[in-house]
Amino acid sequence: MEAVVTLAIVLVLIQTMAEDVLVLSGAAWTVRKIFLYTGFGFDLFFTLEFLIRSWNALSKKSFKRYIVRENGWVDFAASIPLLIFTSGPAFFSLLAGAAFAGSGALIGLLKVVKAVRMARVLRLLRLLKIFRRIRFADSMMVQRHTVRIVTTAASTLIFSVTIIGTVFALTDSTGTEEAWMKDQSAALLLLEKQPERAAGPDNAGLWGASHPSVMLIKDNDWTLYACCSDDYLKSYFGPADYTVRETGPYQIWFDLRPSAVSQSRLNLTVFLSTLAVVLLIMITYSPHFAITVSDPVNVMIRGLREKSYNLEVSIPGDYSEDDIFRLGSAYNDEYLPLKERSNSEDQAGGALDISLDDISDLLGS
Amino acid sequence: MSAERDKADVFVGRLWNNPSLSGLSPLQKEEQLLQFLEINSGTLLPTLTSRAFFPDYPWVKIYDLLKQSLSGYANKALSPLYEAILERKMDFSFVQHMPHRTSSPSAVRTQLGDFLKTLSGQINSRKELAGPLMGVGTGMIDRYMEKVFQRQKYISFELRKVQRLKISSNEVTDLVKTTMLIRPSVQFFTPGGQSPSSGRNLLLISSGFAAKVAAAAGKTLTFMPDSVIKAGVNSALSFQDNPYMESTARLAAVFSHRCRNLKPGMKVDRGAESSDKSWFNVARKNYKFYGFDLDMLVELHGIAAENGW
Repeated sequence: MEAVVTLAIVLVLIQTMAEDVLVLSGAAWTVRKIFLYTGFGFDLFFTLEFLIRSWNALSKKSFKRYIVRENGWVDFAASIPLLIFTSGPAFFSLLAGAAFAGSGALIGLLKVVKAVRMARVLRLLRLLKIFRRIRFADSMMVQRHTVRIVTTAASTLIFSVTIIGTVFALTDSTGTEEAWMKDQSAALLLLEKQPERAAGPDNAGLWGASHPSVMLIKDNDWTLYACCSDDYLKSYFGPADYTVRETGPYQIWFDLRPSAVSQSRLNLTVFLSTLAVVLLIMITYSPHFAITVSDPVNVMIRGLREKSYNLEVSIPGDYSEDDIFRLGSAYNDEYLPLKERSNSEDQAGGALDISLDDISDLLGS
Repeated sequence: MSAERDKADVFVGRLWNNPSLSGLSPLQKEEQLLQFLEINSGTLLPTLTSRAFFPDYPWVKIYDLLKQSLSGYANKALSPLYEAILERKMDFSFVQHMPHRTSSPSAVRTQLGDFLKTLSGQINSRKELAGPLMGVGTGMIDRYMEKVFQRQKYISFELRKVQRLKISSNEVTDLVKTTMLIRPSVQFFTPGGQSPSSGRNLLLISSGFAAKVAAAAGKTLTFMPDSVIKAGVNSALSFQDNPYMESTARLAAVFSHRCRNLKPGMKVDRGAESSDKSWFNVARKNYKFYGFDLDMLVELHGIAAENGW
C-alpha cells in the first residue's frame, strides 16, 4: 500500500508540473483536459488516503500523533482543500461542459480563478512525504534533523506563497494582469455606450482586433468578428479558458488564458524553488550535519563501547570550538589514553574481534 | 585420544577460519581465540560436552585439547610466515658492517629463524612476537623508515649522528626490524615468563636485568652482533630512565607496541582519524607509561598525518 502511495505522490508531482508546462506551452485543450481529470483523480485518491489514515489513527487513539508527528497535516493540506476548491469544481464544470465561470464581474471572476489555481501549489507539500521516505543518510539523527529542516523550509515557502498569493488575488491590486483586464472592462463599457463601434463585420473586426483578449463578437447568432478559425477555437479553448459577456445586442468572448499562463508561471517557479530548497538542503546540510555532529558522536560511542576501538575523533580546525568537538577533544586527550593504559594493564588481554554470534551455526543456536 | 584431537581440530578449524578474524596474523588469531574460549567457557560448555564433541569431559580437559589444536594451527601458519619474513622482507647484509661476531648474512638469517621458533615455543615470548611479526610482515616499518630518511629530522638524526649508523637507509631499516624480532627474548629469558619490574602486560625491565638477558640471548644468537642483541633487549627499557638507549631500540619499542594489535585494512569510520595517527597521538599522551621517546612519537605522528596512515 505504501509503495502505491509513494508512486502516486511521484506521479502527482509530475502531473502538477506537466499541467503548468502544458498551459505555458499553449497545448491543445484535449491534452490539458486529461490532466484536469487525472488531477481530480489524484486529489480524490489522497483525500481517501487521508481519511483512512485518520480513521486508523482515531481508532488507535493516536490522531494527534498522526497529525503532528507523522505529518498528517501534510496529508490534509495536500488533499481535501485541493479537492474542494481546485480539482473538484474544475472536474464538475468539465462534466457540465460550461465555461468555468460565466457570470459576475470579469475582474472578480479572474481573482477567484487565480486564488483557486494558487491553491494547487499545496500539492507540492507531497514532495515532503517523498523526501521523508528517501533514506539518504546512514544516521537516523542526520535523517531526522534534515527532514525537519526541509519540512520547515519547504512548507513555509509553499504556505506563504499560497496564502499571500490568495490574499493578493482576492484584494485589489495594480498588477499588470488586472490592469490589462480593467482595460478590457473599460472597452466593454465603451461598447455599451457606443454600440455602433461594433456594428457590422468591418467595425466589429476593427474593434475586436484592437482588443487582444477578445476572441469573438456575436450579434445574436451572427458572428461579427472571430480572432481565429472555429477549428482552432474548438481545439485550444476549454470551458475555463474563456468567459462570455453581453453588452447591448452583442455577446463578447474574452480569452482568459493569459491569467492561467501567469499563474502557471508562478506555480512552476514555486515548484522548482521548493525542489531546489529540498535538494540543496539534502546535498549541503545533510553531510554538514553528519560531519559536525553525528560522525564524531558515533566515533565516541564506538570508543566507549568497544574495548579495542582506539580511533580518535577527527577535529576540523574550523569547528574546533564547537561543543561537540570540544567533547571530542576531551575524548581524544583524556579518555583514549586512559583506556589504552587500562587495556594494557588488563590481564584478560585486548578486545575480541570474534563473538558468539559469529559461531552461532557451530553452537546450533 | 586421536578421535578427540580430530574433534578439537574440527572445532578450532571453524573458529580459525571465521571471517571476523581475517586479516589478523596467526599469533593475533591465537591470542584472540584463547581469550574467546576462556571468556565464553560457560556458553561453549554445553555444546562441547554434547555427543558431537567431548561428552562428560571437564572444561579443563576440553580447554587443553582446544589449546593444543589452536597451537597446532598457529604453528602451521607461523613456519611459512617466518620463512617469508626472513627471506623476502629482510636483508641481513648490515651485519657485515658491524663489529663483533659478524658472520655471513645467510647464517645470521638461519640462526634468527631458529631463534624465532624457540621464542614461539614459550607462551609469553610467543605473545610478544605478534607485534614484530606484524610490523615486518605488513611492510609498516619499511613505509615509516622511508619517510624518516626523507624528512631528515629527529629520528634520522638520532640514527645517523647519535647512534652513528654508517650504513644505508635500507640496512638501517633491516636493523630496526631485526631489533624488533629480538625484543621478545626479554619475555623468553624472564623467570616464569613475566617481566620482573611489573605485574602488568607491559614489557618494561631494569637495565641490570637487560644486561643479563642480552648475555643469555647472545649465547643462542652467536652470529648476531652484540650491539643488535643489546638494542633488541634494551627496547624493553624505559627511555625516561635510560636516556642513552639506542635509537633503534626506541624505534623497536614503539613499532612493536603499535603493531601488536594492528589490523591491516581496518576501515576507518567517517569522523575518525586514521588508525596510525590515532595510535601515535594516544601514545604521545602515554609516553611515560610505556617508556617511549616522545620526540620520536611526535615525528611518527607527523608522518602518519601527512600520509593519511
